[in-house]
Order: sequence, then C-alpha cells, then structure tokens
Amino acid sequence: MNIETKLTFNDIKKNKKRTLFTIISITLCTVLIFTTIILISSIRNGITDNIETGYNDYQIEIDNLDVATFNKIKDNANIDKIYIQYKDNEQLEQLEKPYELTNSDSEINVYIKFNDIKKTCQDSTEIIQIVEAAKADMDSQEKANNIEYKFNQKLLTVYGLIDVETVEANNNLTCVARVNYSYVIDILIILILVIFSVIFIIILYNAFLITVNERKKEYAILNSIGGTEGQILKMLFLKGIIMGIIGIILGGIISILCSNIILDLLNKILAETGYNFRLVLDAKYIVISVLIIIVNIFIASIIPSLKASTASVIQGIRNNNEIKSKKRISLLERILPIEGKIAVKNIRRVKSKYKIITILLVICMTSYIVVSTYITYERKTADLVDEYDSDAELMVTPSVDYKSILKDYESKTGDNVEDLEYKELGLFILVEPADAFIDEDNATEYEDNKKGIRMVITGLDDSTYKKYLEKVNANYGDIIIYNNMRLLDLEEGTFKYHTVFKQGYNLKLSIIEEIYNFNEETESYEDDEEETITKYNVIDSKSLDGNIVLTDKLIDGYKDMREKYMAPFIIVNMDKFNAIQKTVNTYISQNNILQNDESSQVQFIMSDQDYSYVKVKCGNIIEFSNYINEIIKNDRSKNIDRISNATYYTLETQEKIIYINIIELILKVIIIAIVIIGIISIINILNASVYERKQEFIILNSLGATDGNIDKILIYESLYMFIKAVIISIILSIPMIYLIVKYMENIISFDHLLIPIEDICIFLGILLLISLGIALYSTRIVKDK
Amino acid sequence: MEILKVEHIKKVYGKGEAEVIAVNDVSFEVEEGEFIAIIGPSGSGKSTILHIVAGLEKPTSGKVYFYGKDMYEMNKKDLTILRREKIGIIYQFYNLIPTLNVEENITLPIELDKKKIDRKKVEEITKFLNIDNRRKHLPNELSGGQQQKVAIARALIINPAILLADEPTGNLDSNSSEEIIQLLKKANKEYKQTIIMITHNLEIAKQADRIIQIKDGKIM
Repeated sequence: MNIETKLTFNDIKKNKKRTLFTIISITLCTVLIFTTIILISSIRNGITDNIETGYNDYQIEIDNLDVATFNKIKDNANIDKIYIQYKDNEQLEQLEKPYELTNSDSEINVYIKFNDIKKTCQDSTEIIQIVEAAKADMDSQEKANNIEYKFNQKLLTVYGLIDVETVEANNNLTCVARVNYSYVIDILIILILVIFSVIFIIILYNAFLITVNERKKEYAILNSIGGTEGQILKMLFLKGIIMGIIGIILGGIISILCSNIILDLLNKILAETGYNFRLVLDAKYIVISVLIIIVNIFIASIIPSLKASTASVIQGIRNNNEIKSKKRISLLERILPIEGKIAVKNIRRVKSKYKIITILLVICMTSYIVVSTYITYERKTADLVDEYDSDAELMVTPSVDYKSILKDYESKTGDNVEDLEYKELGLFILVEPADAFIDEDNATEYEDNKKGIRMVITGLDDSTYKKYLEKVNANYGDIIIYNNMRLLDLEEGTFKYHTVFKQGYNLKLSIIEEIYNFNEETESYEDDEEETITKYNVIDSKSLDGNIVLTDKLIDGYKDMREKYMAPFIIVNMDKFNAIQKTVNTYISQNNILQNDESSQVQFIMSDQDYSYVKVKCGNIIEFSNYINEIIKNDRSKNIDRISNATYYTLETQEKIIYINIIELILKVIIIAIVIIGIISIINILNASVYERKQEFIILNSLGATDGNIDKILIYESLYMFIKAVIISIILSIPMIYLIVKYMENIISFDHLLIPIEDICIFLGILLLISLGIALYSTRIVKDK
Repeated sequence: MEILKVEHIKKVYGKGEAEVIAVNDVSFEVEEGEFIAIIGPSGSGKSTILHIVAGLEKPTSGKVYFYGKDMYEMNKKDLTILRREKIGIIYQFYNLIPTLNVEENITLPIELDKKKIDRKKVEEITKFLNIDNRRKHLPNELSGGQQQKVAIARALIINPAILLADEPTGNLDSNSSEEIIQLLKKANKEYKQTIIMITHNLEIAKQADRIIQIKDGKIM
C-alpha cells in the first residue's frame, strides 16, 4: 500500500466521527436526489399505466374506415397494436398480426397504437396520407367524407402532445400538436437535480472543509518534509472517493426503501381511484443521477482540497488561521456585554466558517416558508374550487317526507345516507357602506351612489345550520355571508374566485327591487347593462339585520354552492329564509310585479319556490339512484321531481384532491429531507468549530470565565447567525411568495395573504432551539475532554 | 564547499501600520560540514530566517542559493522535492504524524519520494539515536525526548545536504536537551552533517562551530 493510501486510511480510522458525519451527509444528499428521481419516474409510469388501462392504449382513431383502405395501412411498420370496432357493435377487439379482417363489407372504427408514442404526429401523418389518397379513389363521396380522425388526447397529453389535430399543409392532411412538451418531465427532473446539486455541494463542501481543517497541521508537516501538493490532493480525493462510494451505495439502498414507503402512502391516498404506483427504476435517470452525485462530490471536495494542498506550511504547522483585523467596531460590539462582543468579533473575523451555517439555515427556512405557503394556498384553492362532497341532489316539494324515504332506503340496503336540505332565493341586496366592496366592478352603483349586489339567500335545515355556525364560529341568529363569488374572466376565458367584502365594516343589508331605466326614444327598457339600473326600491331593510359574519368556509355537504351562481351567499336558518321569502312574495303580489317584468327585477333565481333541495351522500350512488327512480316510477304522487347524479363530478374533483395530496406529500418529504440534511450539517460544523476553539475556551476559563460565560458566547453566536438567516430568508421568500400568489390568482383571488405565520414561527423556534442545543452540547463534549 | 548562500534577504509581514519587518537585510554563507547556531531573543527573526532557508517561506526580497542555484527561482513542486531530498527539518514541537508509528514516521520522506526503503539504514539510524526498541510505537506513546529523536531520524534518513533545527530542545527538559545536542554534534562530527540550529539559549549555541547573533531581524 502506498503512503498516500496508508495515510488516508489511517485518517479515516482516527477520525471516525467526522468521517461518519461526512458519509451521512453524502448519503442523505444521495437519498434526496435518488428518491426524487425514483418517485418522479414511478409516478409518471403509474399515471401512464392508469391512463392506458382506463382510456385504452391507442393514439389515433379512424372512424368509418372501409376494409380496403384498412388493408393499405395495417402493415405500417410503426404500428404496435390495432383495435377495431365494427359498426353497431360497441365491443372493441384487438387484432392479432397480420391484422386480417374476415368481414369485408362493414365499415369499421380503427384504433391504432404506434411503437413510439412521442412520434405520434409523424406516424399518424403517414397513415392519414395513405387514407386520404385512398379516399380520392373512392366511388362513394359520402363514404369518403364519413371517414374521421380522432386522437386519444388524454393519453397523448401525458407524453407532452397537446391539441393534436389534423391540418392542411401543402395540400396534404398532416397531424400536428399545438405544443410539444415531450421533454417537460425531463426538464423538470434536470431542474430538480440542479437545485438539489447546489444544496448537495454546499453541504458536502462544508463537510470536506471541516475534515481538511482538522488535518491542516498534518498536511503542513507532510509538505514541509517533501510531500507535494499533488500527493496531498491525492490523499484528499481518495478519502472523498471512499466516502462517496459508501455514501452513494447507502443512499441508493435507503432511497429505494424510502421510495417504497412514499409510494405505499400515495397508494393509500389514492386507494379509491384505481391508481396504483409501483417502484420503477429507470436506468437512464439512475445513471444520470449517479454521475451527477459523483460530479457534486468532486466539485465539493476540490476547493477544500486545493486549499489544504496550497496552504501556508508555517501557518499550518503553527495551527493558526489568518485572522483579519477589523478596525471599525460594529454597533453590536458597542452595546452587547463581553460575551456578545467576543461572539460578534469571532463572526466578523472568521466569516467563511459562519457563512456556511447561515447559508444552511437560510436554505432550511426559505424552503419551509415557501413550501408551507404554497401548500396553504393550494389547499385553500382546492377547498374553494372543484370540491364536491355529495353524490346526488333531490328536488322535493314540502309534502314529500324525504326523511322517511331515505330511512327506508337505509334499512332496505344497509347503506348509510347523509342528507342536507336547503332552499335558495336570489335577491338584490343593497350593501352599506359602499366602501365595503373590495372591487367596485363587482357592485352595481345606483344614482344615490349607494351600491348593491346580487346575493343568494340560502336557508338550511336546522342541523346543517348549527354545524355551519360552529364551523364559521358564529352564533344562532347571525347573518352569515359566504364572502366569495365566481366570475368569468372574459380575457382569459376562465372562472376566477373573488372575495367580495372587506373585513372590519359594520355592514347593513337591505333587500331591494332594481328599477330599470326607460328609454323614451326607443320606448323600451334599457338592455345595456351600463345604462340599465340607477334606481331601486327598498323591499325590506330589517330581515337581514343582525350581526354579520363574513366567511370563506363552505357548507359541508353543499360545497358546490360556490360554483352554482356568480354571486355571494347569505346563509340563514329555514325559519328566517321562509320569513324573507314571505316578505318578498308579499311585496311582489302587492306591487303586481310580474315574473318577466322588463321594468324591474326582484329575484334573479327563477326556480320554483315550493321546492326545496336535498343533498344526499351515500355509499352506493347507483343503488340509491335506482331506488329513487323506482319510487318516482311507481308513485308519481310523491312529487319527487328530479334526481341529479353527481358522481361524475366526484371523480374529477377527487383527481384534484389527489393531485394536491400528492404534491403536499412530496413537498413535505423534500422539506423534511432538506431540514434533516441541514441540521446534520449544522451539527457537524458547530461541533468542529467548538472543537477547534477549545484552546480559546481553555484560555478564557483560565482567565476566570465560567461555563455560563462560555455558553453565552455560543448563544450570542447562534442568535446572530439565526437572526441574520431569518432576515435573509424572509427577503428571499418575498419574490417566491409573490410568484405563488400570482399563480394562484389565475384560479382565485384572496383579499389577504395566506401565509401560515404560526407554522413558520413554530418551525423557526424549533430550528433556533436545535441550533442552540447543538452549540451548547458541543461545549460539554469539549469540556469533558 | 559552499552549500548555502543567503544574500540580503528581507521579510516583511503586513501592510501600513501593521507592517512588521521580521528579517532585515540578512546575509550569510554556510560551508559543507559546518555546525552553525543562530541565536537571538524571541521575535528577533531567527525562525523566519530558517523557514526562508528551508524553502517554506519566500523572502520579500533577497536571494537564497542552494549549491549555487537560486531556490526561489524554482517552482513550488521542485522546491518541495528539493526539501524532500536535500533538506532535513527538525521542529521544536517534533511535528510527527500521529497515526504513523516511529518507523513509519522515519521512512515517510522516502515513501513520499517513492523510493525503496533501506531497512538497514533505518536500523542504523534508530540505533544511533537509541530508539530502536520503540520502532513500532506511536508518537503519543513516547516521551518528548524520544519524539524529538524520531524527528531527527526522519530528517537524517534522506542523507540531507543540510539539517535545519528550529529550537530542537525548546520543548525538552535539560537532560533530554543535552542528549539531543550531543546527537546533533555527533552527526556533525561523524557524518559531516551540515547543521543550522536556531536557539535562544547561549549555552546550547556554544556547542556549535559558529554563532550568528540576530536582533530585530538583523545580524549583530
């Protein structure tokens, strides 16, 4: 064994703890990278498997194709599979090669899967052009015109091909995709690898720096007796290679275990949806990840190694560092007691060491602030958007004892049913003061400068109403306003959610009749919205008197309320609702207001007010639907007029919730990993730093400094770095949070920031305690030695 | 034959108000086989002179000729190899590699040079220094005097053209100090080893053939 190898192994054996910390750092960073890569490729595979199973694994569908033309395309070399569907037969059957058809008279629908899904456009174009050429020779123009091309957009989207369609190009029909995101996942992976590599390098650089600093004297001695820089570098690289190999192997094994656990958790979350992710080790990504990790280890080790090999021999032998003198005394040094002065002087004079700790703290804090804010916004948005918590809705007249019907159903089927009854009335409400509106454009302004808005008065059954009161923290009799409304953004063509009223105003609500302006010239009422309304009559200003509670919480069991109308809601109990309804009806009859009166409007929801709605959540919607349909069929007198089966909403909204749960899980895992790595590195640095300074502590002790004094120095140092890190991370988080808010504004706008201040403060508090704990624990070890 | 010629070397540390002139225009020559002691009070610049002569610290100005060649014209690697092959260094605090035993510490320069170890020579030197029964011991198992002998052995194993000793007895008791000085004298007399020794102790300095006195960075 040559001397360099011998010295390296000796060093590893002698400095077991330090070596262990470095290997743990490499392992954890490897786990971070590998696990992310494995999860992305596993989830992507799972999604495509699911889609292929659910939506069939074909890319192009050609409808109404004749067999003769089919025979011209079936032998195309790019085709992997062909399914056909005969006319009047819904069954799809997969053809086996050589794709012979027995019935030559029928027209068929053909579903083709190509070998390489990413080349769908090119391969489809080939097929389409053959078919088009065949169409030109067809006897029947009608048959030719009936041939249609469709694409399996759902599947193709997963592979980055969206809006796939046929277009005329140079007199040829060609398949094109609007935007090709084929490499989106690859780019995402590269981005993640770059970000994690930066973290990896910072942490590992620091670990190597400590290792090298501890052997500074030894390298100086070697240099002084003839060890060249190259020989010293060789030793350092050898150590890096040994630790790297151990770390990568351990990291790889742990990554597979972690990925399995995370995928199991994901599968539990997705249990009802049919998704089932399995571990997929994509060789391409694994190899790239390993290479990246090796490069990261090299980059992280090169600078400390070069520093060690080229360091001043004399300083190394004397084991002193170059301390920069600072002439100017900082403000902190002036105001703090002696322990604080020493702490600040230390940090100012040996900045590089403390910089790493600060950087690690900043990474942990910023990651947590940004990710927790994102999750809060995502959850809130999901809460408001696309959540559906019932399976069916019945519309019933007062004479129908729907409760008994539901009880009967339960007893006959053993299914469990939850129900909620509500009524609604769409009225025009004058809101004072006018300043209370967040966005003036959402309000109607009247000629007396007052403002009003359409609002849906919703009456709930007593039990649901009480639960809702508890949810929004209101009292019986309070007027609860659901303070969000859905509006169509004409420019973007999407619905956005807006908060309507500002908090902190003492709102006064009056039910009004809107009066339309009569145009003398046209002798009709204005139908231009801007010209239409300037006047109003107050119908009732007392019914909605009371303590007003603004909330953005939805009614459990009726969460789709915010998708129904482009208006905020007033939620009351059924008695109040009935009273309001009576007042309004009385006004209408007294003033002879017709339903389709052009001159004015009292209500904007024209539903039959004898009916109430019953939301139902059950275990088996099919069974429930059949049961209700039977009742309706057999006994019309029960007047159960309609059942709307809402299960198709359930799947889509479940996908959104699943997506959020997955994102949340992955982000939380990444955060936990970053924080663990950060803490381990901080332990390593603080421990090494304290050990290096043991002489300083001994001197202080000999001059009369107690353990308490020394602890205070370290506490001041930790606090200084911590506070600095908090300030930097807040500054760094601001633009990222701004981006999150901007992104979310595409879906919903809030009138206040949803930053989880409490969670962040708790996290920072824990981080501070850990930092202090590590510093103080390290001094104990030094003192013991 | 002249081994070493030091010409008007000057070493300045720091800048402006913090500037310190550690060595100020020092010149001297060393003949083969000479035993020279450089004496001076603490902070006089004697260690700095030794470091410059050893190729460990470049002078701010001046020249150091080793066998007629300007040391500081060489690149760093060549200077290191020169040190490995021609210059033996002994420090006040021994500076042994703690994870290597006595024998491994002694043969370290040879292994760094990738040369074959002459075990007979190792035996000879360890016997000469009276540490042959400690060859497998680690440095922390030796007394101060024994550690310093190991350092001397490490310096002598390469047959250096010149042996530089920086306060070799500074960390030893009087008996061990006497033993070390006698060993150096023996090496000088019997093996014609050229030695430059730094000390602040006049009695020790008197053991040398020539004394150079340094004060405030200048030769007196």
